[in-house]
Amino acid sequence: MTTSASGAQGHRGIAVALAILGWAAKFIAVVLVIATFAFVLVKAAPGDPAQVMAGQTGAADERMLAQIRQEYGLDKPVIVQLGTHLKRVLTLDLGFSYRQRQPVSTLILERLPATLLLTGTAFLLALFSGILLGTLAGLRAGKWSDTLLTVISLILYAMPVFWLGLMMVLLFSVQLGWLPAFGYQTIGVTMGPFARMLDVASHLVLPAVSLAAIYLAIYTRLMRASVIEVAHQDFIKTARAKGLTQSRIITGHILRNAILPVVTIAGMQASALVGGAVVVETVFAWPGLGRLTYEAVMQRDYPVLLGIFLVMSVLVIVLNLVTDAIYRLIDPRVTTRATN
Amino acid sequence: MDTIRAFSRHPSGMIGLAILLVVLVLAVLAPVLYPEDPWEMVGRPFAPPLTDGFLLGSDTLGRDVAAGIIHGTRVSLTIGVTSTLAAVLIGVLIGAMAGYWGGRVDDFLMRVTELFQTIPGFILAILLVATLGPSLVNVIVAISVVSWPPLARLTRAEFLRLRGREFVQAAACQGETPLQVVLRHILPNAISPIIVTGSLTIASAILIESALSFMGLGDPNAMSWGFMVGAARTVIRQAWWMSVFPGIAILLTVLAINLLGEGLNDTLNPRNARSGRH
Amino acid sequence: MAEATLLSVENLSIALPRGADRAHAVEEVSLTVGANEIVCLVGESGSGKSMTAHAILRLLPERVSIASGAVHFKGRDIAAFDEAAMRDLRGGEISMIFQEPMSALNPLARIGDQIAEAIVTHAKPAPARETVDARVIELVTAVGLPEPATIVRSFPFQLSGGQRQRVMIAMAMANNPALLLADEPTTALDVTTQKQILGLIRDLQRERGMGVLLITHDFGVVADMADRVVVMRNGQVVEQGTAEAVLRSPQHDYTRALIAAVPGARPVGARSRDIHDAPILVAENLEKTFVTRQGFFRPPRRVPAVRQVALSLNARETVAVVGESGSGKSTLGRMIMRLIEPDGGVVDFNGTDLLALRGEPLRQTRRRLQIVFQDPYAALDPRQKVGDAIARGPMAYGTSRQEAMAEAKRLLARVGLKDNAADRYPHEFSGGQRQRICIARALALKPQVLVADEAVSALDVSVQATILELLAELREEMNLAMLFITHDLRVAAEIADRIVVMRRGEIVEQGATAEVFANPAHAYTRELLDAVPGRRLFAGPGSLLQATA
Repeated sequence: MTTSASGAQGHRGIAVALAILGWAAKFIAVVLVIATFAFVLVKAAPGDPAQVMAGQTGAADERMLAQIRQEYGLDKPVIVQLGTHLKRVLTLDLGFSYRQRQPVSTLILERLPATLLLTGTAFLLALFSGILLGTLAGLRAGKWSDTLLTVISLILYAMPVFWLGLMMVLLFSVQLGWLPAFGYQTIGVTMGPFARMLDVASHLVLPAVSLAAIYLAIYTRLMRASVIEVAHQDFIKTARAKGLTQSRIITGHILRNAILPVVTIAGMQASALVGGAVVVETVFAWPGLGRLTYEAVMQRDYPVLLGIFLVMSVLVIVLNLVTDAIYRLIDPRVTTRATN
Repeated sequence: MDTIRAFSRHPSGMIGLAILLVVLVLAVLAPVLYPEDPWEMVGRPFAPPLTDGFLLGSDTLGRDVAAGIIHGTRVSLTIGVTSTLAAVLIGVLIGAMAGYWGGRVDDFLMRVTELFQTIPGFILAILLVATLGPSLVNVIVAISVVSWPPLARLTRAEFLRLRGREFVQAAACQGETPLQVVLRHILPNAISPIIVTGSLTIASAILIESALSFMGLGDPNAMSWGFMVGAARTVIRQAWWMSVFPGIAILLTVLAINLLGEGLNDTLNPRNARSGRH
Repeated sequence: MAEATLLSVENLSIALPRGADRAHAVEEVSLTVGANEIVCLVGESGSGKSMTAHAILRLLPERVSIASGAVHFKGRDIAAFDEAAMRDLRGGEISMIFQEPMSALNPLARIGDQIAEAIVTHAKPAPARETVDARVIELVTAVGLPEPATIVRSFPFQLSGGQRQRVMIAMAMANNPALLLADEPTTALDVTTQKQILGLIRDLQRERGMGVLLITHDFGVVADMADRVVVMRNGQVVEQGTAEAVLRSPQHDYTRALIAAVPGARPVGARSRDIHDAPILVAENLEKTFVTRQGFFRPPRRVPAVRQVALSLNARETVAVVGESGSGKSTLGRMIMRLIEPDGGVVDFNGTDLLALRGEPLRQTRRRLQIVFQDPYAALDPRQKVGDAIARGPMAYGTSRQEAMAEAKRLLARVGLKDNAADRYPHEFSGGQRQRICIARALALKPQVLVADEAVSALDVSVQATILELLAELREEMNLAMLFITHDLRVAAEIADRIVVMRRGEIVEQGATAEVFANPAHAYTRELLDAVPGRRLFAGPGSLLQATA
């Protein structure tokens, strides 16, 4: 029970190194499993795998199919095919889109920045506003402002993302004309870098808010509950018995403790957020991976779909890493924290 | 009995129940209210609400929006409930095994669960439906595949907690077999949070289904809310009603289920229900 | 001893929210604490003692409020204080420490910062950083914590329970309070740690001439600490006076009953229980190490819980396994019950190796060994009727339902419950009643060995005494051998024929009860005996046995 505090500093360095090593191992494992999964999926798809890879809309001719069979070694045993596939994934070769006639990695890299901008903005927006609003609600539990926030978050939580996006377009673009409805930037106009930034930002508002809304609702409710729970813990009584003011108790003792479960959940929700980006990008014609997904679905372009699947999973792992780092920053007990 | 009485005093839970009952009645009465096929073109396209005999207007091809919504209710509820049942089955089974046996079984099953939670579920669902083909069954399969992990984690946590509880150990000492212990003592005490989470899973399943249909991956023979919004989104500037009303249907249904789930949580939650503890 | 009156509580009543089991937590309570004295506020759970202390600093839970009466501190009426004045008082002139040192400190803040906060809050103008740091080190040193410079940089999870309670005390001493309110400060601690903490509080009180209001349920602690005593029951003061008067010649029946119920305070009856050397259960080389995996690359953490333990139990004999937390005593009991799988060793039960059994043979043998757990709230399935809980065991071995239920009712009557108890749910019973149900459940299978794992530790003393009495009767009636696991030497002295003392997973001493108490061989046993509170008054179990031996 008694852990000597001396030497904790040295242990900490080792712990961090081990954590990074653990993450790297997990990362590679997840990538390999997902790649295997994708492989199995294509195998399970009805029809000729070569035809599947080429896209089912019938654009492929015999010569191309032969090329695909050769490239993927489709005439070799399944296990060899899997080996080749995994090796390609590990060397960052995601294959070739026969429909778009470009390497998948090129297609994805082209679209990745827009998706990163969208998901990153939405994630931070949801997390920070959720924590802020949840704290307000938790501290005013039972008052009308708390009830109002609760009702709003309940409604947001029940909204389909695509519909919320469309309704915002209807209100803010069509009716009020405040914000652009579609795209990433105004096309065909030359502007300075600052003006361009503002332009992108104004295009970003509606998609980011639509994507963030549901998570904002989740984090608000979670933070509210967490604040209420922490406020009833013993060490808050200690703080009151010390003679601290209410504001000092909130900032010094309640907030940090209350944020922890929200950060944990935010990490777990990262995959849902990334999935939501697909829908939001479709609604707003945001030229990111989600939009690419939609196009790939429409054309049944499997190499692209599989590549996106892999890259999006990696994005989730990265977001997990970020939330984990935040958690470690707040909580000194990292080494003793259970994984769930 | 106590639970039912407590629930009847839960205002938002009762509101949820009321809305859900209306939705259910509409789903049941769909063939009576709108006997014709919702895919049938029955009038002038682009008719605004309350014109040409259309309560909620007509769509780009002159189909009745109201008929589509009412028939869509059946699709949404069927998919929501069926895929949730499958997800609960998978999740409870995996969670129960992990939580009861612990050790290496737990390690392995939780790794798998974690992996499924890392993969963006919606993209996996898209991939599954795109590969297996857009049919009602495949949509249900895809949604259950992405919905079980939270249920597995919850069940595992409950089993882990209860397995160490002294009344469970006492039952083992009294000579009850492991299966009896699980069925008689662990499961009944774990069931309330599973019911609550299950009800919320129905809501999220409906949302996933609508998003899949919106992306054009729904069953092409089933009229669904997501499909209606997806088809209408390009004409939103001219015909708002085509996307607004199906969206409201989704919103209300999901909201109702969430409210109901919350009401259940407040009434089934042992912290509230067993206040006689101390 | 009392000089000036520091605190006076006058006719204080505290109202509970509507729907609570009673209208008032505390009714018409009056008490005083002088400068430079220790007043013990003593009572069982639900007596309102803790509420009274919280009311003084207006730290009552939500929806609980002072209904009438007054609290005066140094002659000033606290009711007239506004929030700011109240804050100045809290942690300033009046400090408070709590029962649970594990949860009373903010887990995310360094110890030093938490103590410094108490100083800075009350210092105007804000002192220099160095001044505060120096003061923190001074306080940490004063409460006897080792390596102060390291401690202040530590987080609470790196400290033991006793160390955390010292930190709480350091924090409370930060502004040289005139009055310390200590709410069961040692209840969650081991007995040796309790002794140190109580000693620390007494030393600090003497050095500083503080007034201390010490809340406790333990008359042993009262005997060691109190100058004056206030006894509470059901929210009312039943008796108060000097410690000597109350302890030696209690006036009120309730006080008398409470003092008589203190384990070890009762005269021990004839000890000859006619036990022969016929082992029914022999454990050898029992071994258990708990392993927690810590992720991919970190080596798993190994905590040895039980090391090479050998133990034997004769038919009809009661053996008490005594030890502090972490001694491995509960693990030992659960290994014998096969609730925890040992890493190694042998448990010979009536000639069969218990540890080698699997499946149906294990189930068949299991009925001969039963267990009663510590927490009677956790030990009964909340969704199972009491009658079913008891009858289920015999039914699992083929007894018909009617027969099993009839037997359950008979057992319920035997343990002192009404026969309609069978149709009710556990939450309708009090802690003591639930423990009776658990005993009935364990006995329904007519076991030969009963393991009682801290079976009376969670109960109030008066209830504790009746349950011990019941167990003593039942072991004679049913010819039970008992393995009585406890942290409390006083309880062990009451019931055990033989005592086994455990420490850090090993047995350090064992022998006949009278022998162990009279001539403890091991230094640790002596330390444990020495730490038993109330030896001054109750003479301690050892001396008591000596007297009767």
